[in-house]
Amino acid sequence: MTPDTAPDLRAAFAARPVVAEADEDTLQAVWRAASGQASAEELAALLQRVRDEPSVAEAWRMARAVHEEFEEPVVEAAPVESNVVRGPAHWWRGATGMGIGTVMAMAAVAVMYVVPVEPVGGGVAMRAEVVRIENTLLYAGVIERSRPVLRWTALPEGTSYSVTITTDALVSVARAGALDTPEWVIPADALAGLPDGTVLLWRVEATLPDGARHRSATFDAVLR
Amino acid sequence: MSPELPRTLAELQRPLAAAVRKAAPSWLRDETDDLTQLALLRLDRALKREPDRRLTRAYLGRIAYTTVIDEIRKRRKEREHAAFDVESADRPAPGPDPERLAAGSGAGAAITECLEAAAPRARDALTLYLLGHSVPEISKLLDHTRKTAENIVYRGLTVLRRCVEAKGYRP
Repeated sequence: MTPDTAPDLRAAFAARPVVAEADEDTLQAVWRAASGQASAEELAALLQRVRDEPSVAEAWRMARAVHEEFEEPVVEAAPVESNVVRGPAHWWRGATGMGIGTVMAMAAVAVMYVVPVEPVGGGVAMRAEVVRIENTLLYAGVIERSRPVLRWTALPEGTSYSVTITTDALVSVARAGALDTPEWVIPADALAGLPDGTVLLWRVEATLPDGARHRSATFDAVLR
Repeated sequence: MSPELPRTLAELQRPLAAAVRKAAPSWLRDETDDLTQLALLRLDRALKREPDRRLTRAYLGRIAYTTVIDEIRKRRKEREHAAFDVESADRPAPGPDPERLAAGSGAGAAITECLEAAAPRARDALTLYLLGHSVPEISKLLDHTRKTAENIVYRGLTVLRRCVEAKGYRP
């Protein structure tokens, strides 16, 4: 869950007064780095300058916003195949870095989906599939009023999706069902009464053609 | 690689306007039409200098980015001059709200100090978060797993908030 003051910390960081303007080379370096085109060393050096020089931070915010508009691939939308974790060894590798609770949950789901396939060499090969529905929005932490689109991992054709959105106080904001594409534009009137900075929680439930149902994790995003 | 765009300026106005709108800070948003025209002029000049340049969406984005930055700098200079200009004392100075700036500068400085005191890994992740990046973007930019980035950011934000509050600010 996002700490509740995060948007205000961002606003305070953005309000630092500019003392000196960044030079042209820095602006171009920021442009590249904000879209993921800098080396680790360049990135670290630029982030230090972001902290030291508000004008560099200002340029970074703008570069990020423009890259977002033009959907430069800072984060690629994950294709379905990459979200299907196969086999015990693979699901464990996919789970590294996750909390133990998540690992246990994934293990439980994996067990549910273990199905035997053709026998190989006298033994039985096992195949496990865990369907994961990810938030594939490029800027996953933000819902823009001007373009309030939600996107998530596409599952096989014929899958039906429903989406539920609430505030972080769990007050219902909007709901949609029987969607046949992995995206939804939130109706503007559903967001009209919410102030900027509201933290919205959203979750997708997918019903596969064979009737199996899968829920995504709950994603959070700030309305602006 | 971005696909090449049509070269008619009129056709480029819409994507350029969208990029300008995204880049412009809130206090410049009412002027996005004018800024788009400035961006088109800049693009026209650039294409005359380099007629064979490959025209991609990324290039349009960079034109919008530099146009908006130049305009912000121009406004800041006007603001500095206006501060010394007696005749213009009654006119609102161009630029962001000074009260907001004053309120933000103390908390902003406190945030910077607290970031400097953080562990290097948390410092960069939090800096990206404060710049508006989401956790998935941070994980990609810093080459962490998503879960690692999430842990660093969310634990870091809690520590950062405590540190800023200990300095007397409640952002």
